Amino acid sequence: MKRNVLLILCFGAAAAILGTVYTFKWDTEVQWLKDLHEVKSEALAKNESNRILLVGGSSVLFGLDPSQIEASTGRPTINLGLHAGVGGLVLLAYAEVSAAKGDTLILSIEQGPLQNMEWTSFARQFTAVIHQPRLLEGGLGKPRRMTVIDRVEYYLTLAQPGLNELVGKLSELVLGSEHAFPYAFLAVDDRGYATERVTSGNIEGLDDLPSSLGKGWLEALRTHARLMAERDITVMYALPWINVAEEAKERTFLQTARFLEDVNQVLPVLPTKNCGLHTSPDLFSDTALHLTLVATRARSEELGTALAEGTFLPPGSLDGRDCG
Amino acid sequence: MNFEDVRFWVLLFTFGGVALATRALIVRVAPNKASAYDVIALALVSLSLFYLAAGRSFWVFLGELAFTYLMLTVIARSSSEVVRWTAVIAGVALPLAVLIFYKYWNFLLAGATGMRVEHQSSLIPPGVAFYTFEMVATVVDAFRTAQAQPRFIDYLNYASFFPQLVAGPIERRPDLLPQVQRFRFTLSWAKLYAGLPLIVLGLFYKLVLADNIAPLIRTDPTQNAYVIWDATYLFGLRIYFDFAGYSLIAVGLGKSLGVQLHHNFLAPYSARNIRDFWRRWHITLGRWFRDYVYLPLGGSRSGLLLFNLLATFALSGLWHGAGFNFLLWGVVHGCLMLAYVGYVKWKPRRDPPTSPTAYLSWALTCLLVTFSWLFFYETETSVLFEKLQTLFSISGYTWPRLVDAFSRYLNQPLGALPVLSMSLTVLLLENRGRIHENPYFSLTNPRITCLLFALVVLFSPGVESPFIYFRF
Repeated sequence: MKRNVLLILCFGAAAAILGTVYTFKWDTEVQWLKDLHEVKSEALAKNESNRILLVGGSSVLFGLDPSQIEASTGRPTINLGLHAGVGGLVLLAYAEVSAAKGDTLILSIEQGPLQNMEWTSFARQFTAVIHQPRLLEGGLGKPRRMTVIDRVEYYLTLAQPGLNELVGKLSELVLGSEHAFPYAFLAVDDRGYATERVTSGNIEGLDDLPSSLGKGWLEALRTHARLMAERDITVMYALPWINVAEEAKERTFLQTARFLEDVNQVLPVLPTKNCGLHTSPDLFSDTALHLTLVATRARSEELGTALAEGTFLPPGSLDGRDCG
Repeated sequence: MNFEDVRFWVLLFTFGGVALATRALIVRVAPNKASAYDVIALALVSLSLFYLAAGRSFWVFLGELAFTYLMLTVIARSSSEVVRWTAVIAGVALPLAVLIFYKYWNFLLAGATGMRVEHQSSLIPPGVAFYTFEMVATVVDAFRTAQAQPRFIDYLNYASFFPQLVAGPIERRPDLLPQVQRFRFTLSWAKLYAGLPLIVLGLFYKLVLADNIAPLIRTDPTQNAYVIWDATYLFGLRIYFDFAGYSLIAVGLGKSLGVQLHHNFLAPYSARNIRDFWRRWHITLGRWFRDYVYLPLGGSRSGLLLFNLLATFALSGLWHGAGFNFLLWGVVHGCLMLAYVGYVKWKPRRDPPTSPTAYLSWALTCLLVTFSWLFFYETETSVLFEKLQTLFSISGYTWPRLVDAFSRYLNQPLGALPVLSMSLTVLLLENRGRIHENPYFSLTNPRITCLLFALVVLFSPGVESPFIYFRF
């Protein structure tokens, strides 16, 4: 009996070790994000000051061209877009650790990651692989601190690559088929911007969007703004472009306007036409948040012009009825 | 107590470790106090875990527990029938009133007036539907049969035993109370060996099977009957592995502590008829409704079989949720049971288990149970009826619709295949285990347990997905 119990526990431990090694070395999504991080880190190292840093999830990675913004503003611009799946806390912290004195942070984090402060497995695995677990706490302000139980869960998550990942890797190796995660094969330029797109004919416009920041986020952004100001770093928020359903455009417009009003309580915001909402799926490549190359140029031009002209709305300007 | 939450296991090991260490000390210093310590330590561990899960609603549970104990005391000590009747009515009414208030208030209020008042979710006691039934059963049984009054600490341990408090199995006093009365807070290799394979199997069911099936289920409104069948079939698998997984972990934890809890599931998808299904699915709930609703109504002997069966199943459906869809789900099963009773009367002789008719019976049972899950998961009544209309119209079954429904499986054959293959293998092994009257016979073999534990670690999707039955 003792032998069998110990054997079972040993198998679990062995699987955990294998799983951890797999996550660190071969997990497709995690390695993709790690590679992106390395490109962005190199770009940050090459351009050390007076930069414009574009922060957000994949709506930034696949939606803002830094070279265009640089052409408009004359300032080195780097795309720090990652993946919304890492959550708002990691995206915020990533912005903080990347910025230096004199930089301008453009937070274009999608509404979703700003709804809660939950940690995803993906976030834990990514921060572990780049050896920065502190990112989980959301930056210097630590909106959410890690407890002892959080640390246990953190390490356990590293051991769990998941069935889909392992099956995808197996089909890659055995059948030679492309891994189910399509973004892994897209080109990224030396400023961290994805220059290729996955295309899909089936984009469904969203019909419901959050109309406020999630619990704790107002305070988190307020602390973030204060700490960045102390470091002489300017922070602004810019709405992402989103594909919405035609029949829901009025509702989603109001929701987004109210969301932006919430953000504008603590951060200056860059004006965005029609709150960044578009009903035409032709502007989007494979999801309601990923822009085509043409739409990316348009959005980057809009943002670049606003930055060059210094057109922004100071905190407290919005009334929840439009986006400036 | 959320078994898929790391927090639960860390707290369990911490509290359990402290309790065991303290016991070791007490055995050395004051061995005659050890048995008293055991029951107190169990109570502290159970209540601490529940308090951390329940928050402020912990006090609601404690209040109900104290009140029902008081009623048990009155029933046991009073010789006046009026007083005893009053106590049993109060002992049943209060827990049910709390349950109705937390669970059905909005449903009743909205139905009567169209108004809706939301409860603060932090005030709803976790597992209220489960522990309420346990308390009610205890009070009724105390009234029906002369029973010695238990000590408060023993009743507290019985009602709050942490492996089964939040989502069952719903235990009965004769089974669980004697065990907690003689509980010893000790660990042994024998106990761990008895419990660990079930815990691992439960984690496998929940984290590997249920959680990997969940993203495959498409419940959006559709005119495609194949998509509806696909979703309903997958939901049936998901809810089974989710709830059976929880129950297995509860039973395994109990065994690790030397307490035998009832299995809640015994290979339900190998059932050959609907009556067999309900002897294998959520067994402790089924027995509760049989003993405290169906039989008191008269059962099959009162000449009101139709009413009694339908009422029992309707209430059973409502127990799962405050919604018309749950009520309909219960009624559907009631109708299926009535149809089966009628069939048995017409054809009393049973076919051999390996006959073609037996296989046909099994297939039909699976089909009807799968169909019934549509009522369970589709909470929007209008969408439910639209989907029913689609299922019963020929236009929902065209060839292009078939291709559309299953194209995702063809485009990514390895996407769903592993989890569905594992699910099928598990169900076949459960069916094979019927021969040993233990569906988990093969699945709790030590070597299989080693493999399953490795798969739990490697294959868990890592997304937070609470146990479905926590909603109830």
